[in-house]
Amino acid sequence: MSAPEDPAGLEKKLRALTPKRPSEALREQVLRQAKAALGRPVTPLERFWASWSFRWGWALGLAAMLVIGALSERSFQSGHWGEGAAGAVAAGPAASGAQRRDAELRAVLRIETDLDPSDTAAFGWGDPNRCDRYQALVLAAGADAGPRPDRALPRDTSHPLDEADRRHS
Amino acid sequence: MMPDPEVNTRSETPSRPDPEEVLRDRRRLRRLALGETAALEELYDLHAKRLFGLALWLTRRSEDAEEVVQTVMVKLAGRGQELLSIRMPAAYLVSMARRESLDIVTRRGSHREEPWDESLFEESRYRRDGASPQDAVPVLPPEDAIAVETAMSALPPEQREVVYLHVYEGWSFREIGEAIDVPTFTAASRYRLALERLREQLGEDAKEIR
Repeated sequence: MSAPEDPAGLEKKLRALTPKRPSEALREQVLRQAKAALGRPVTPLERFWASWSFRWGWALGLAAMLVIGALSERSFQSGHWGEGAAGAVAAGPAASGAQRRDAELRAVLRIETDLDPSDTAAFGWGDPNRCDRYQALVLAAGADAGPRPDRALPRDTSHPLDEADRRHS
Repeated sequence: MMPDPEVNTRSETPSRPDPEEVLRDRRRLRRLALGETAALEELYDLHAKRLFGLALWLTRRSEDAEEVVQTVMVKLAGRGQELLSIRMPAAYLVSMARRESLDIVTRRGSHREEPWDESLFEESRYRRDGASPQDAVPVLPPEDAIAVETAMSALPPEQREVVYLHVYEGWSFREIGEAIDVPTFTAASRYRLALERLREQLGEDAKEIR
């Protein structure tokens, strides 16, 4: 016989052959046995537990919990656990990321009333960017936020929040 | 008459598993889980050929291949709730058939000296192009078919199964890898090695004939 020169030629030779197939008698025999071995039908509840929609629902629920948990982290540290997440949720699904964060901070800080300067460390006090955001929030809430924070100030020195407190007191 | 190499291919289209077929198979498994015997018949009709072929190529005995198909279908029917979580039914069945076949081969280990004379291919190596039986033409000269079969049976089982699934079932190496639990690269590599060995073997046969 001629030796195939290339893999394609050899493949062609292989494809020219038809692999053996099972007999019709086997079909009858196998189906009879398999039908006899058929387990009890799955109940609707079992079907629900095993369904992909349930699994996806479970996975999405878990993901939602993680997101809410992450949003709540800072409020948890500040002693106002859950309020941040509630604020973010209250901002609505159409809110942008910044709007959600604002809503979260508003809810957590409760700017107008019981502002506790010592808690603000948990919100990144001393971080110039957050400092600006905090000040903007204070202003938006109608409170007197005091002078713009000095970005060069170290964390432990007086900051606008202290000043605001002093002014209020 | 020598066959035209261009038309000298299998008339059957390889049954490549497509996403829609996978979904349909999942539905059949769901129906089977609910106790529908018609789903069992459909699954058999769709997969038995592949399972039998693979089992035959691994065990090299018709009786063993039939036993494998029966065991796989019986086990499948008894899986109950597990049927609902099968994502790739064809790969799952191939994996089961493969495991059963290798179990049989292992059990038979002590009887390796038994001669093996099972044909991997259908006896009739003819393809009918026309309406009348007179139009039947051989798709491969008999001596070539015998040489291919001899060379194929000399391959190690792990190469044979890849050749079978790729050439006769049209599966990609990724699909084969998933079914036999090896990386895609390994499946492709086994196929390449198998073709090299076949080519060597067939080349030697050609020299002997000359």
